[in-house]
Amino acid sequence: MTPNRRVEVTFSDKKLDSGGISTKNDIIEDLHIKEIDSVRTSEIYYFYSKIDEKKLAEISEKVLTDPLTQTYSLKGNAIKDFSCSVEIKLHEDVTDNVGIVAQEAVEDFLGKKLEGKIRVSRKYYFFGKITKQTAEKIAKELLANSVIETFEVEVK
Amino acid sequence: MSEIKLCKLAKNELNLLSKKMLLSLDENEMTEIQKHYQNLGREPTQIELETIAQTWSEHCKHKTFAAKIIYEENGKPEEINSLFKTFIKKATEKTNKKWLVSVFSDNAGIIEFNKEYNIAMKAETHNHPSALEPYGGANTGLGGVIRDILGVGLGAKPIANTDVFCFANPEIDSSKIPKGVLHPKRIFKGVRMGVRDYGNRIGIPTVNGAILFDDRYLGNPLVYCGTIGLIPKGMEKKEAKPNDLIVTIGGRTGRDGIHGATFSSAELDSNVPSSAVQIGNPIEEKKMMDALLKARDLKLYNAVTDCGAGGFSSAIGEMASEIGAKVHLEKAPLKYKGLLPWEIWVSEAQERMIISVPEKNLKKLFEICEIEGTEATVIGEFTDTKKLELFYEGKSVGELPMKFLHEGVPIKTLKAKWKTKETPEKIEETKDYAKTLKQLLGMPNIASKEKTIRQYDHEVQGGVVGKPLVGENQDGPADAAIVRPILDDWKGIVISNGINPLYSDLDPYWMACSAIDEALRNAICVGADFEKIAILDNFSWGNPEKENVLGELIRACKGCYDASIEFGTPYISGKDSLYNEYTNAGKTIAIPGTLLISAMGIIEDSRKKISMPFKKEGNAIYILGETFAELGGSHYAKINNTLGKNVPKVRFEKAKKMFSKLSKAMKEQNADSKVIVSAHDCSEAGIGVTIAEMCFSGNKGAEIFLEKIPLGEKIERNDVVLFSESNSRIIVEIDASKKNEFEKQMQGVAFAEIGTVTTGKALVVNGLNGKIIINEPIENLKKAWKKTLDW
Repeated sequence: MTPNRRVEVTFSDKKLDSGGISTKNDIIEDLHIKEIDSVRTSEIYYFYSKIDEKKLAEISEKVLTDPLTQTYSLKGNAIKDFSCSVEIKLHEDVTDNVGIVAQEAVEDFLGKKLEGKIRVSRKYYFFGKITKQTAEKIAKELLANSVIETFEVEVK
Repeated sequence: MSEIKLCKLAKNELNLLSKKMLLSLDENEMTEIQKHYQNLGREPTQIELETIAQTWSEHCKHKTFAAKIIYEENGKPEEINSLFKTFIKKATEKTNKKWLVSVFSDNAGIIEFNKEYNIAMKAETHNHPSALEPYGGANTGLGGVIRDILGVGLGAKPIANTDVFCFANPEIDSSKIPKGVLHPKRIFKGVRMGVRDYGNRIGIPTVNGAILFDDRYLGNPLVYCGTIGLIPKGMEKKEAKPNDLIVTIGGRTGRDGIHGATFSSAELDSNVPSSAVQIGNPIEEKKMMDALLKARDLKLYNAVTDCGAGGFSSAIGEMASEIGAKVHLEKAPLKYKGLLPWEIWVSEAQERMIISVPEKNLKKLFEICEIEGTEATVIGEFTDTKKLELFYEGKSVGELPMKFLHEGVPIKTLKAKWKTKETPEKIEETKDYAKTLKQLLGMPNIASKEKTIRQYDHEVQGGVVGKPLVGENQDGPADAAIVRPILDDWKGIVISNGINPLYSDLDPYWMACSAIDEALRNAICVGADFEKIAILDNFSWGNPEKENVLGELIRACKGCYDASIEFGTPYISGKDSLYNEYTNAGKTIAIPGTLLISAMGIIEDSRKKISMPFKKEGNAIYILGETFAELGGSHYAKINNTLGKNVPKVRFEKAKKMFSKLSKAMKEQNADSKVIVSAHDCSEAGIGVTIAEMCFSGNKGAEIFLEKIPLGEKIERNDVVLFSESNSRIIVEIDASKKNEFEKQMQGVAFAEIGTVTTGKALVVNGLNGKIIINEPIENLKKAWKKTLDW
């Protein structure tokens, strides 16, 4: 099944992305990949319900984003100019607690039930000379566990 | 209703069926099931077979600990009927302590605390799940043991968590990692995050733990999680009654964790079912916990049990074992559609508990759940039919007599052997003591665990008065934690542990005795009353079907028995995780026999607590207990790439006398003008490391004289005195003006003044011949100790 809507939430340009910093450190220290310059992270909310764009923007702003530190994108990648990215999704039959909580929050906000679920994935944007193979290695050995997750690599 | 045809199968076909369905049942057990159904004249349904497999799993029935064992120790035959009854339960019965409230019969052990409350403790392993998915495995390991405490008696309030991990060397080259195994550093980081995120988010402090390393944990990391709970007196008993409604409270049921119970009875290989992983949600558990404790105080239910391994099947099966139950599986709230009835029944989805509720209380229960934002659903009723009856959409899908389900499992007969090992002692004396000491301090077993401890919230709930990190810069390794659960009472609970799997390679008997001695030492060092310490045994072992592996387990159980009786320290709960072996490319690696002893004690007045850093220049340093030439299995032997010969033993009579006298002296001293100012347990790498830790944690120097150390036998080498790991030794700092008082209190115990806390910031060690062998700035020692696990 393909989702109807996608919202990507990330930290604003000058705000601290501590998950990105610790991922970068792990890439250098644990995988010994020195080519990495920095990492930024985001969360992607997939809506399996029909919602019009205005409403979705309102949900993104008021429910999914912390307006002081975060921004969101309704169309495509929230972060540009990266070399490679990895998106990690849970297998379809694995419980997605963040998705469940997001759904509860959105339903509270709308005052009605959504017809379909919300599933959440994590995305890592790599900056520096990172090739597709390196990105795959990082995904396999550090970020995704194939027992419960799948990943997709995107090369810019 | 799907039937499984087994009545006409031959023995080898029964085995194949068990393998194919992931039942983890052996031929005898399958034959017993076959007989049962042949007598009934019908085939079992899938859900019946799954229920039996789960109820009879090693995880739930502890078949190895209940088995009859034909044992041979150094050629002498013995027969053991149940390791559990012979060595663990009997030890507790023999110690005969009046302060035991509930032992072995419930989800956790309970002892007396004060006039209003008792305290409960439970420790669990979550090894297999953590090997597959470190974050989720550790997450749900902690979530599970918290529910054990919520499910003891009518429910205890969780007040503290503990965690102990065993991993392979985190710096191992990734080319050496077999297929399907995660890198130990990745496992370590994932497990650490898992414990952090569950414990911190649910609001329970993580107060005590340990992390050990050995390369045999590569395919089988160990993750122990423990929880301590506070339960009002009179709430320790529970009993589900016929006509009570079966209510599931908390999370919804999904396909996660199916076959966890039976899976944990199998050796790991690289083929892993994804459904074996459970996903935790601490916020869900917190809401359920709050609702449950409210309902408990209003006495809305008669019994409670957590859904752990085996899910509904295990929880309802256990609660109804003496009465009977009817369950309507379609009523269970699901995370998503499409689950088969048997999947609903054995799913190990997290954050769920079962309560037995009289119908008249239902409305009130629902009101509470509504307020707390958690879900409660009636899924059946308890009966008096002595049968388990399962329905789906009105149709019967399974029916099992309780007697067969709970008592039908055939007792296993196993064989075991033990032969005392003869190993050579090949340790060359170090030429550079300062370098060796720094090397020892930097060994991952000994190195600072600050980076891990600091990720855990040990302050939440406001009762932790003995912190895991102590000293001038709050980075010294405390021996034990103290929790003061009632905020207007100074009485505290002391929590410590003892574990040293390296000794198992020489003799698991002394490994077990050493672990118990260490747990007691640690508790006493912070001020626990030696007369009132309860312990928990958690075994993680290899495949018990192998004679030598089971022989080692028996040696450990014998040690558990002797040490418990000699010290007068009872077991209140325990658990075993077996089959910790990993097969890769035809080669099987078993973990070293690992026993975690968790101790829970009482400190009457927590203002009298003692910490380990040196406090004041000029104070005297004493050692209590004798030192023997015991480098076998020691860390010093390990850096010499050898095992050594003499494993540390425990001289029970002398140890007991010392523990009693020290504990009494600490209890009787004035909180404002202490005689005993600090105390630190002498364990990994012996006196050298212990004193170094006391120095740099207190930012003080010290000078000690090895010739003054009381020896149990003739020792002529400095390295043996300094790094021997002899048990039952404690280093104490005594107020310079109160030495006489202390010496009087310790009469009859081996002790000696071995040095002083100094103004210089260096550790100076004078060797047996009076020459200085170490003169090292404490800053350098601390650096070596902090560097290894600084990530």
